[in-house]
Amino acid sequence: VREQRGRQRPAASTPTTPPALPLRQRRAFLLAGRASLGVAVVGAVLDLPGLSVPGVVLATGLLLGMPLVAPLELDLATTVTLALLTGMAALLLMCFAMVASDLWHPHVAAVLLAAAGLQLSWAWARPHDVDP
Amino acid sequence: LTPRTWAAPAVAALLWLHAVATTTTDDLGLWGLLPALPLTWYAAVALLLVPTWLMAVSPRPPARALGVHLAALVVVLHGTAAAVYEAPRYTFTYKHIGVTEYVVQYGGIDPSIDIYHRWPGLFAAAGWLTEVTGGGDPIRFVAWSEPAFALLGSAAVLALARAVTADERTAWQAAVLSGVLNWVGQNYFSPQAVAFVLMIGVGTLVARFLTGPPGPVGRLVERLVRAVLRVRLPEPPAALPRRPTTPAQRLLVLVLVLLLHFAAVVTHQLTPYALLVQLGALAVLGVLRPLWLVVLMGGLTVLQLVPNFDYVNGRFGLFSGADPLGNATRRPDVLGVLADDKVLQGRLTLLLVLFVWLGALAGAVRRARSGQVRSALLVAVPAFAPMSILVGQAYGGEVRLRVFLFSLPWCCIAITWLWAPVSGALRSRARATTLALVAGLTALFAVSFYGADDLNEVPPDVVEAATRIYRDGQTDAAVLLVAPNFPDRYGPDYTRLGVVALPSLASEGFADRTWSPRATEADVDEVLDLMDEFALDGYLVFSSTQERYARARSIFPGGSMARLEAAVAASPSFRRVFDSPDARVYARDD
Repeated sequence: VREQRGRQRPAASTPTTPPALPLRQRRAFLLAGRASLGVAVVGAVLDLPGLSVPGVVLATGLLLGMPLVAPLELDLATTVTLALLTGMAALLLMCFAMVASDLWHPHVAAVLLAAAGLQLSWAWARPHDVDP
Repeated sequence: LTPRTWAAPAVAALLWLHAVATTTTDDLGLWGLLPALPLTWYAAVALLLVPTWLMAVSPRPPARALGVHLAALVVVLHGTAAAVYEAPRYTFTYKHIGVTEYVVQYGGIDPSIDIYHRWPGLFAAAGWLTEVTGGGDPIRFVAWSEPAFALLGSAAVLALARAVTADERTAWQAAVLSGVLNWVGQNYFSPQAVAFVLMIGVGTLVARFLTGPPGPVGRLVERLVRAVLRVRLPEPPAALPRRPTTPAQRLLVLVLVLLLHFAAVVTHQLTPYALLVQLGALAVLGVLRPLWLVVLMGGLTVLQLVPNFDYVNGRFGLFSGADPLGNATRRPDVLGVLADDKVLQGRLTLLLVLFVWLGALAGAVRRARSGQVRSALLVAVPAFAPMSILVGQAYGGEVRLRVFLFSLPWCCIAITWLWAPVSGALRSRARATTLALVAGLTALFAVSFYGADDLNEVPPDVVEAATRIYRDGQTDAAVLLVAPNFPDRYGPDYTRLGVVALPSLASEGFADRTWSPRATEADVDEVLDLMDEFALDGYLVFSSTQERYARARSIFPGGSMARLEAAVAASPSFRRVFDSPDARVYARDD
């Protein structure tokens, strides 16, 4: 049995951390995230919640969630879904922390969140040394 | 971008747009929105459902085309109310908007006000979203929560199914089923809608990365299942070989699980416990590892409960009796007798619920009998574990709805095993049979989801009446409804009024009376006496939403609500302060 287990163990078990998505796709998601952020800003300026609300939700998922979830190397649909959920969870917890601590500064938080998302996604979408 | 991907969704979109543009909702009857929807709506549903399902049961489901079709189907099924009505449906949506407006107005929460301020995750996030998207009224976007959460839910079920099976057909069929079986109406702007999708996200991560061969208890259960079901076939090699994960990936999974769970914990009272029950059951079987993760998730959940324990226990009670059947059948305070049409709708919904649970059970049994006991248990255990909540909680008479919802994602997967071929593809006759079944389920969904919209629709006049009451009403005044079904706790200053949960004449014993054609001042005095019990100043509200509630429950018989209003309008003790076709508000003037 031990011999069988030894044979079944896949060679790919060597710990490696390749980027989860090819560079082209990572850049596409980075662009989509930035575009969503742009749509959110335009929607907010023009007072069009039909643009701004989905823009914020998508931007949070794509800029913040994607770099966090992509290293799990899941299929694309699952990655995007989990990225949106992760972005949503991050938003919920950030806003919960603001109201629970009596530090309600929504616009400051928005700027910090956008900066964090842009930085994180930019770092994620850069060419890596090992790129399949 | 082939025509196969876009043609049917594009035509269906045109049909749907025509349907929502031509639907009138002025006088919804006992079958809600269904008779008001034109044929083009039904044509749009059919045009999407048939190719979506046929692609999902095909030997090689085309992912891109299926994704487009499924998204369009979910929008048509779950987004019609948002497109047709001028204001968000369900009167109880408005208290959630009220708490959100409170956060925006005062920049924080006050846990002494009500339970929503103690689990404020959604309200804080929606308040933040309101502020950063222009600072308008959140009512402008909350109606679209329903299709948005439904879309996210179907995508999450697809991810969940892909985590427990390598069969793409099962995954897509489960995702389609999640769109047509979720009739419960919990995708509206509410904490449970957010927590529910987070819950599926946690389930996906756990099923994909943190499950493995069972421990001693799980092996014992597997042997028992094999003996009871007389399973002779050996367990096949794992259908979805788990790719080895690096320590960094494993750590990331644990962090993400805790992140999603904690977000659910600060958002909703019940969902985290349902999730714990599901994961706890898997942990007991030894399928889920590490065990300490479930313990830590439980710790986070309790951490949120501790400061709120006295409040929750005092007002609602942590346990409402160890009688599962009683808890399951308990209903919210129901007045009067339901109209025959509503009783029929209830029975059709029950049929849908029974199909889901019995279908999932039968699907899991069939899966196990094919030798795949392990994967059958991995799905069946989280599907049926939420039923244990029935042992201790009635949740205000809503627990059976919530249990159905919590079990639904896993049930959708198990149901597909009812007809999944052991090998090869489904025969064409079997495909046609499953299509007919899914079409029937979609019809039941439509009845359950839109059949009660005579009660769920909230005309803009009614919203305006609620706005005026909560914004301009006398401080500490009481608001008395004639019958339930009116927006309460609406607006940032909803705490100004004396009584938070609005009482109604109907619930105070006035519902069965046949008011005389010329109601006397003595009749009105009775109403005034009742109002005195709540506050000296007060308002009496009549609205079309209440009239529809009374009609559906056969209370205020023979037009007696209109006669009562005539008496109130003629009385010198009342002064009309708001008047519109759908709502009238009378202030005490004595």
